[in-house]
Amino acid sequence: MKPRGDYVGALILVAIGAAFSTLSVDYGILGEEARISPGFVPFIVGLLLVVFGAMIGWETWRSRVHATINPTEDDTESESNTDKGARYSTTKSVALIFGLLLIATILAPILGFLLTFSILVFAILAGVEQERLWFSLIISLSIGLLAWLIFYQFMGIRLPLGISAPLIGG
Amino acid sequence: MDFFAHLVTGFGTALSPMNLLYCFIGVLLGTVIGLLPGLGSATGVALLLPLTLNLSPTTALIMLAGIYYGAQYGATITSILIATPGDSASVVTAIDGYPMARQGRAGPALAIGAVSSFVSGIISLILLMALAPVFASLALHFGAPEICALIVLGFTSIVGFSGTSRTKGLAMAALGVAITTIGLDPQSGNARFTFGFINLFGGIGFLPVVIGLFAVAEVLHQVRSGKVEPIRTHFRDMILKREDWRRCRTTICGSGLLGFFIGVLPGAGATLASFLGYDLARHFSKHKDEFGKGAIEGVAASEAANSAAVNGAFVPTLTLGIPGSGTTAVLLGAFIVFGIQPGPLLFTNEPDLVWGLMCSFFIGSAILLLLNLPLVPVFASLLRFRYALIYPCILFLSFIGAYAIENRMWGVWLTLAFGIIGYFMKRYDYPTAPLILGIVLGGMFEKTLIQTSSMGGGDLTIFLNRPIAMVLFALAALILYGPYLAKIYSKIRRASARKA
Amino acid sequence: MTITKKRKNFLKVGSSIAMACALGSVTLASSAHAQESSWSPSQQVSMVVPFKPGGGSDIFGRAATAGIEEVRNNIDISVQNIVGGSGAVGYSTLLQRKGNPNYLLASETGAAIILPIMNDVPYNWDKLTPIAEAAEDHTMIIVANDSPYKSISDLVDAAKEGQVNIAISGKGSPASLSFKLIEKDQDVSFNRVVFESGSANNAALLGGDVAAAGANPGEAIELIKADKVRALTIFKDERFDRAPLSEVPTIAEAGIDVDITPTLQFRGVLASPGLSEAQQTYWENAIKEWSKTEGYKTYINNNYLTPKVRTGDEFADFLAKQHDTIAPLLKETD
Repeated sequence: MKPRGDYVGALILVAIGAAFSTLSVDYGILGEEARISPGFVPFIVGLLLVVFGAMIGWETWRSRVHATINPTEDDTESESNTDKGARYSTTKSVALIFGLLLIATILAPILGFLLTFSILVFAILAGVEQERLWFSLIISLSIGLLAWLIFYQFMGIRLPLGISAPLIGG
Repeated sequence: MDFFAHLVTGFGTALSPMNLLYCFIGVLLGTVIGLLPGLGSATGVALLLPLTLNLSPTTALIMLAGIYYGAQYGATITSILIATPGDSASVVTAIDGYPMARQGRAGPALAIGAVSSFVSGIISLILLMALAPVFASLALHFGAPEICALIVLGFTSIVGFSGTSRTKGLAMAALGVAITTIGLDPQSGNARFTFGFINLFGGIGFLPVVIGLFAVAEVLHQVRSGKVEPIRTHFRDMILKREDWRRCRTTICGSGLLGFFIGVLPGAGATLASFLGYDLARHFSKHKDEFGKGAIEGVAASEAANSAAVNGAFVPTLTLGIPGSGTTAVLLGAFIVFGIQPGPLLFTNEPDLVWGLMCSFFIGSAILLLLNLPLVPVFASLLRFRYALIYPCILFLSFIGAYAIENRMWGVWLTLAFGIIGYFMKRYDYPTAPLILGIVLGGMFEKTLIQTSSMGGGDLTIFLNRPIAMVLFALAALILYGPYLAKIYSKIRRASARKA
Repeated sequence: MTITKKRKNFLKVGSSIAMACALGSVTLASSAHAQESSWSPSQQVSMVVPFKPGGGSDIFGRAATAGIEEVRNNIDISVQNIVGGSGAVGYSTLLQRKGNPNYLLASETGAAIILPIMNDVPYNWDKLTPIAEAAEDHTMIIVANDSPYKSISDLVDAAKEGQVNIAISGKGSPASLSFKLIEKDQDVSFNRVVFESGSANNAALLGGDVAAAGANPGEAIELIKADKVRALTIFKDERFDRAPLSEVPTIAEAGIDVDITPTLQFRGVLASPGLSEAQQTYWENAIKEWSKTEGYKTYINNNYLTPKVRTGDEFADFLAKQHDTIAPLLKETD
């Protein structure tokens, strides 16, 4: 599991670096009289990313070879089955929370920022953490109200209102 | 009038009941703003500027300075308790402060944060009052080549922030620098890597990245690791022990002085100061391996450097009218709104205002300490709540903060993206601090490098004519290769000793 | 509606404890409008400032907001700093609010005219509704007080002989264009070092890294008063009438005969595209009335600007003229 992740990470870094270097050629690397041009820094940094990415890949490969020679340095995750089950469910929670955040970000300008994110808090509490419904409702309402007071009223930050505009009185 | 006469009138102004009251209100409001992720001192001062318009200029500026101070400490509190730096300069505090909080030592972390801010704040204030003109002329000798060299020195600290793999640290720093090149480059006027997207013209802001990598990623990480136990501690563990103080004493002074000097340089800023201050402390610490895992000196160093840099930033601001940081730039705007022209004549034309303001910094620091030390156990008890109740609220506040930074949804999207990136970085052991460091220093590095190159008409050998820059480069080389040289040297000595 | 008004009022009391009062006062929102023209805003108005708090645009935006609120008692404007891409993001925000009269934009030459010439941005000054120019800022060329250069011709002579470093903020800044005009007229070239702001220019000048810099009067005035820098010339038709700026010769007096239009920096207000005539007139009149108040005078004096109000077609023509004089200069730079 872990070495595979490291290879993917190394590959992503190499790809990002290559992209930066290639694209930066268009902006000019060295100008007249060898002056540093806008492409210079992204070009160099892109090259560095490629090098470091490759090094991470190489180090992972070497430590793995090392590990097969010395089986004492076991790299694989030695978790019992019950642990794995728990891990699976928590990973599912992470995915769920991330999905909810994504939906909230899409909906925020439409439904209004505070309303959407209050609903998000409720959804996480009631859906992911399986708290009691009334309890989740109280917490999400009170944090929404608090944020409205501090951000909207006091600091005067114009959060997007969307369709909840009449609710807030904007 | 001599120095002491100024001091007397200054304290006279600052201690008037009206100014005292507004200083207190400023510190209090600042602390609240600092507690909100993403809303740092610059935004706080700008947002609350309108409410000072009816006050006298001196009172108004005292209150705004109070907000500046308060916001710094507010940001420290959230960095330590929930790994959510409210402000770029408190990122480093989270590196050791948050692990301390998870080990049940939130109390001492918060307390040492407040105390070291206060102590180094007072030291740097004395320097500011006594020697501001001297430091200002010194700062002018730091042109683009010197700042560039200083940033190279700053990059050497990547090694200290890399955790288990140095290569991964270097890669993350390079990625950070690459990120800063996205957007409209205000110098050349070139739009880079924007692909026609208007949001990318503004680049990838520092704060949404920080909120994503720290706050959101940490929440996702904790959720994955399953049951997070609430942290219950006894009251006696909440207070600072003599041993803690002994460990931090020299660190506070050293990092404080360094922070002050970096703060004096226009454009360098408190964030660079806190990174370098932390690295300095690590180099000279007896507990090197505890850094990053909850070393109390780490918190002390970062906070001391940070608050000294805040005061240092006032040196060019008050003596030359050249802002030393983002927040002092906003304060300079406030000066003009009140009809006061900041510049070299400020000390002569407005002695009451300048000295009153500087003396109010003392009082503001004292109020901050007195206000927050008793509250430390209260803040720390926040962690007694079940994590399942805390984290939805962290997410909620983080995302509002991400919106409020630039008043647009783009910040929210960036926070979300960097939240998931940060989650995978944690999972595969990629260190976050070097990435942040790369973003902090990248833009400044490129800017000063291009300026140096332009100054020399394309010729970078201009560095050779700048002794300060060369000294800084030498220092950077020493930090990087010093340990190897020392090893080689001791090997040779041992070898020759064996021969003899 | 009047929430922010209330907010300001209770903030002025200076106490956060009054939070509860604000809650109560929300319901007191009065909607009695004294109709002055055929249209007036019925909801909260946003003044978009496309730059960070503390800069020239921010100061202008806040001054104009306070001024309009003063002459139009019944409206409520909140300042929003929508920052990014040297102003591009803020301008695009207005572009997306087509026909919405409740958005104003604190604008200036750089983002309105220069940025669209230099870059492929989705907006252009003529896509927005011009409301009014409220003030004009000029460019000066300054040197350190101990500099050997006593006049523009000294600087030009030095540039003929060797490398002369000059500090500008941005390739397309008014300062850069000012130097460009001198270069064209005198057939010389200066070595440009680009800094991020006027105060960074000043720091480089004082530190001796550059021989000269471009600066607004407001950016340089205190350094001039303190005898730290001298102004060689100002790109302005007539001299300033207050000391010490009245001592600075105009560019024509310095013997360089150029059209100064590209070097001017207007400060004014633009609005969303597609506003009705009544809406446009409402805002034009508001700015005109603001320009007669004490607050306006204070703003002009504190920032060393020149009062100049242009509205309607006159403003649009000025923008067009600025665009047409700047575009060829920028094309030559590259």
